Amino acid sequence: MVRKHRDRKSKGTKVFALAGAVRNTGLVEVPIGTHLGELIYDIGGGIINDKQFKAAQIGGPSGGCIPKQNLNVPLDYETLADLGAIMGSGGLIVMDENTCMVDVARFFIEFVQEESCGKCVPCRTGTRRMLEILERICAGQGEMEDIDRLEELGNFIKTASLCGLGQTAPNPILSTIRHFRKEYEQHIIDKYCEAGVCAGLVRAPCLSACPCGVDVPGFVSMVGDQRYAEALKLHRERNPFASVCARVCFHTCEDKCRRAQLDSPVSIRAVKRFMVDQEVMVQIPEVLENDENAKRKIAIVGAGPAGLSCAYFLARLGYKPVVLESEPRPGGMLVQAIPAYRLPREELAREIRMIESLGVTIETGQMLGRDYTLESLKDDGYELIYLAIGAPLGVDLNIKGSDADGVTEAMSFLRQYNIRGSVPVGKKVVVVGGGNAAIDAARTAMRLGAEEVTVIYRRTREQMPAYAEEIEEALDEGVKLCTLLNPEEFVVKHGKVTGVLCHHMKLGEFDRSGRRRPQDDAEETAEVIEADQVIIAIGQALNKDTTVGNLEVEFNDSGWVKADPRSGATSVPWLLAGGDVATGPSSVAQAIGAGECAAIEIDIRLTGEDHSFWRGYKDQGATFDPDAEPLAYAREKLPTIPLARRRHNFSEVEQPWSEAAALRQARRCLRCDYGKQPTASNE
Amino acid sequence: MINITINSQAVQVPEDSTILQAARMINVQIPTMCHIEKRDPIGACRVCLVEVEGAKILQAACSTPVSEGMVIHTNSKKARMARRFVVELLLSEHDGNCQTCDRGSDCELRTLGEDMGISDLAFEGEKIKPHMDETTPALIRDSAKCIKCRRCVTVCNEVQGVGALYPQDRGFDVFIGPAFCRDLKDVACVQCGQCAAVCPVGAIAEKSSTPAIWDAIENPDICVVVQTAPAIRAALGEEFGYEPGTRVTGKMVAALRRLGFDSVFDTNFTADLTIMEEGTELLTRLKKALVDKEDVALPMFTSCSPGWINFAEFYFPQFLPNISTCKSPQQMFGAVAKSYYAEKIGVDPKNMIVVSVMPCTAKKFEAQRPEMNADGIQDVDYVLTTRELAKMIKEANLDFNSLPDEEMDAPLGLSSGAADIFANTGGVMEAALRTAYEIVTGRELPVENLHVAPITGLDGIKEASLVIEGTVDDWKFLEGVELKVAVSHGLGNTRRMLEYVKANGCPYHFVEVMTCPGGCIGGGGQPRFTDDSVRLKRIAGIYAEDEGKKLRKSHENPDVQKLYQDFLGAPLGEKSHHLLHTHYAPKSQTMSD
Ligand SMILES: Cc1cc2nc3c(=O)[nH]c(=O)nc-3n(C[C@H](O)[C@H](O)[C@H](O)COP(=O)(O)OP(=O)(O)OC[C@H]3O[C@@H](n4cnc5c(N)ncnc54)[C@H](O)[C@@H]3O)c2cc1C
Ligand code: SF4
Ligand code: SF4
Ligand code: SF4
Repeated sequence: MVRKHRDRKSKGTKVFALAGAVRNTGLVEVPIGTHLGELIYDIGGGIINDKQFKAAQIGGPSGGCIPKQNLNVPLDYETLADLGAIMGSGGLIVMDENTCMVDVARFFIEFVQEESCGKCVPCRTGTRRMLEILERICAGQGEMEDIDRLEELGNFIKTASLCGLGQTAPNPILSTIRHFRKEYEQHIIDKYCEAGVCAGLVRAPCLSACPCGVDVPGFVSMVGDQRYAEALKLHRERNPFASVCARVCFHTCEDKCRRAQLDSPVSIRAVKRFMVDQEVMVQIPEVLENDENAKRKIAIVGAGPAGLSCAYFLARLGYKPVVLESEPRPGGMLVQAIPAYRLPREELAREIRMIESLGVTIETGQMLGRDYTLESLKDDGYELIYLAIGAPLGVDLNIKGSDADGVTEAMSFLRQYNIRGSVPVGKKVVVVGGGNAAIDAARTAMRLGAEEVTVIYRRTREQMPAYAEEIEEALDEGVKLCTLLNPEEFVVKHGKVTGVLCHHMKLGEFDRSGRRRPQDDAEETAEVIEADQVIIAIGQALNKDTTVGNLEVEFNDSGWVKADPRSGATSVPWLLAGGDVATGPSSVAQAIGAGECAAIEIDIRLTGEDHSFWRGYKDQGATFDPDAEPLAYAREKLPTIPLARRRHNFSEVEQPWSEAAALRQARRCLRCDYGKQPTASNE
Repeated sequence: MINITINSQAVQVPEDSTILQAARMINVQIPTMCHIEKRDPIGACRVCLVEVEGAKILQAACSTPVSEGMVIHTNSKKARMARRFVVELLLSEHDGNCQTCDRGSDCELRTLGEDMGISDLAFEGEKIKPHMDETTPALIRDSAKCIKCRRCVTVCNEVQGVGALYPQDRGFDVFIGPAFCRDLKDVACVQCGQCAAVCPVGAIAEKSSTPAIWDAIENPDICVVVQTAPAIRAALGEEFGYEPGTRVTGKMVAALRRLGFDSVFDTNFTADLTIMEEGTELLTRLKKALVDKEDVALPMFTSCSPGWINFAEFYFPQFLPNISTCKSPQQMFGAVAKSYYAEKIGVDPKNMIVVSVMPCTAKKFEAQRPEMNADGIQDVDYVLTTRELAKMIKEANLDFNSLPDEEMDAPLGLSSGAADIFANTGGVMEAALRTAYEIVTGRELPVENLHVAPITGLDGIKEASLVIEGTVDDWKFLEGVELKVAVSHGLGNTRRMLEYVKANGCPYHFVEVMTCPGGCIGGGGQPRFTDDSVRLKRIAGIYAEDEGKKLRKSHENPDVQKLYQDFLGAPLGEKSHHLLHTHYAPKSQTMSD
């Protein structure tokens, strides 16, 4: 297929051999200058299984990789050279999010090793040394100096080798370091392979994908053995909110589940749901009483999952932290934003009570910036403060008419309903945005009696950040979805909103997030969607002034508190931060994981030692026969209540499995962890 | 001439020079590991990388030609770092065991590392797969030490025209050795040791005989006789800091005595004897051809160089009848020592051990040939290279430089200058001509200072011709004959010459062949590193030794004459035939077949 010519420095066409995680593989001839994104999405048909595009290796084993920020680059000789890749043979291997870039580098250098003729020293021995260093890193035995060594060696081999093979051999390594240095650092410092690929670091891909490091195969296989209480205990070793997560977790574990290569992933979250439903009296986890620790004063600001998780793990080490929360009820977004039909409040309350029972004090109605400041807490004798106030504010859409009556914002809308128990709802509701808040607001409005709820989003459905399953449920419940539509102004009559004037969009070039940027579609005319209420759900924010006042705390470019993801350390020695306040809107599990890391850091700072006894691997002794064929059951979903029973109430939509279904599903697990000892410190 | 700049110094150099040559012209040092003088550069080792302004990558000085206006930096940070990386990488794969390596301080890799101040290893990782090849009498190959510089490959293929060594396999697994991963004994290696002479590290070396010799010396029941080849005296000094070519004959004798050898003799003695036998053999062959019209093999080739004998057996068996039946001087010495001398001093030859000090590794092979074993008594028992002798001297803690000059023992220690020049290319021929001409004409060879100028020097193939006039009665049939001779050294040159002879018939009567470039002074057992400048210095030393002697012609050696009178009878006589002559047979090119 020959595409139309673009005006670029290099002219003519080029044949690419598309391979890897792309739907249409094979040879394609395109004009030089065609954008990488077009090649992958328009011609290649996009990524298999709608996974995220991660990088493309261009130019074969001697080429370099191009990350998703550069999907928009034209494929011509100069641009590729600038990015550290080459056109070379035209080989183009598309890699998705499940690819580990360190492993990719290792793979290519191993290949080059075999091709080296062995005549000159740089190529013969240099590439072997690079391979060995990469193998060490992939096995969790790397050190930070290894990255410098790889770069030095790579640059040396490029300039010192006898022929073109050696002169290009280090390209894949140099370009992965250039574009994915973070991944190298994760392998080395955190002993963590995000993609779940490097066998030495990954006991099981699910476990490695869990932000809290929950022993997934452990609890899943214990459920399979009907050891429900032990399974739950194991889960709470790393994540106290088992019941919450059984309902709302985005389950990154399932995205990485190896069973997907066979048929489809294990329903880990649903197995968990069955497990938590078996709990009658809430279990109390192992706590190390410690009088010394109990005397230390630690304040946690914000009773969301990050703050409460931090408190939980501190309490297990014998500390008695105080959690200060502005709202009347603890739980953060779990209680303020996530609707009860997804997360029944009693489930949350039960787990929070459990945390309190360990010696954690939660003081509600205590608002940072109003009732106290970080410094005043310090002055009150708190040695360390963990800031976990999330991303509490909604973001306004500043277009014409946004101050009209009936225009509201999702965070306040949800918070008002969830905390106060009622919120005004229109008949025709338009929700602007594509995230979870938009969908939750839409479904909440639907339940509160709106006749028509329309979600408008300026990109496509695939690009919506909201969870696919949630969108599905929303549509089932009658929510309308209009994508590629951008609100231009709110139509206002007598100070009240009556509609939204929308522009049609089409997808343009790829932006740095690897998604196509929406742009005005001039061929379509604008349209007005009638509405008596508009809920804006386009993002969340943090008020810097009320948060830190005059205290000099570093913020990152996106406006969140700058904190080390490994420890929560901020620029202020006595202040740690984690969860959404540091990452921006993320996930419950991520916040819980951050809380745990902060608890460990706090303990280390106060005692000089790491006492995190819950970490580390224990063999659960679950039944497993490594020689048996995997059980052939297909993946099953949780049953849901009928649509008719969802209107005008907030009953939980998802229902648990029968024990038989749960056991069946639990036993689908392949036990990827079987017989493996982890090197990973985070597990 | 073109203009270039090296390290800010503007110079004019010939257009066809490489950066390396240009740099050497102005004494700018650039290290090399794979380069062999006068051979095409292979650019494998990358230690000669230099920065050339305007070039994207570093350039190998050995293989990059200069061009007008070129600006070269041999010591910029980039160039230094690259060199350092190369050496660090080599060290990282090198399983050297420096503590016990034969090379010690003359290892080029170690020296480079030291020069660069490399004090700890930057990289760790897999080492080279070890393989020890001890299958030949002359050489040991220790693959774990090999840095794959391929100098040995170049020498064996291009200089020696043998082709026993090749790079095998790929990438990190590359190793250097005989084809199909065989050992040396299974291929047509001539044991010349030129590979060992160029190896920068301890990956190819001679097989040591030292322990057995120490044992023999220590055994009171054994008479240990040592002989030293002519080429040793102009090279051994290098191991003790002397300039190449410095003659250390007297100190060498003193050292050998102090090492405990019972008699210190000279291979030169049997070199003179060789001339008597070989000269007579040549004249006899000529007579058979010219007078008796017999079908006799001409030209006659010299037979002193055992690598050449191996070469002919493998590759040119058709010329085996042309090779003089004389044993080499080393073997003649052993045969004479264990008969004439043993008898003289009343020692049972079985209790006599003959050790020779040779510039050569092939001599180790020659000594154990079945042909060299008259009546079950091996002519020569052990062969030491020059390098090994130096080590023994060091091991014995002798202060070589302050040893007195001593004389060889009688009766096998006296020699003529003609014997000395056996050490270098053209020397055997010249020695033979000095004697043969005088026998045939009764007059001295009519050339200046007795040197046959056309066959001196380092040209690969040299020719000379001489019209014989004024013959004495016995040799009248040679009157007016134009005697044509040729000399080749280095087996690559020899191969070229033989191919020419095969194709075009032979214009020569007598041909001298020496295995090693420059002759024995450039032998595989000589002190490292031997290049042409070293060869020329050693040759000059040898000629000086010759010219300094009163006796310059083999037939004038009174002790040789006495040997004929008392023991051998006449050249080519019954006893000589038995003790001093032999024959060789063709060998398959793969020995194991
Ligand atoms: C509508 C919606 C739906 C979501 N659905 C999911 C989902 O299904 N699955 C999932 O994994 N994630 C979901 N998320 C994201 C998830 O809820 C958050 O990432 C997570 O709660 C962050 O935890 P946190 O503890 O960092 O912050 P938060 O949960 O925001 O908790 C912060 C706490 O700090 C308190 N606080 C704020 N300011 C102050 C102050 N000045 N003084 C004192 N206290 C203060 C807040 O009241 C709150 O209790 C959703 C988010 C939203 C908005
Ligand atoms: S099969 Fe089991 S152990 Fe493997 S990734 Fe899936 S849940 Fe984890
Ligand atoms: S001894 Fe001579 S013939 Fe044998 S491998 Fe070495 S260079 Fe080649
Ligand atoms: S044996 Fe010696 S000369 Fe031959 S390649 Fe190896 S290191 Fe070089």
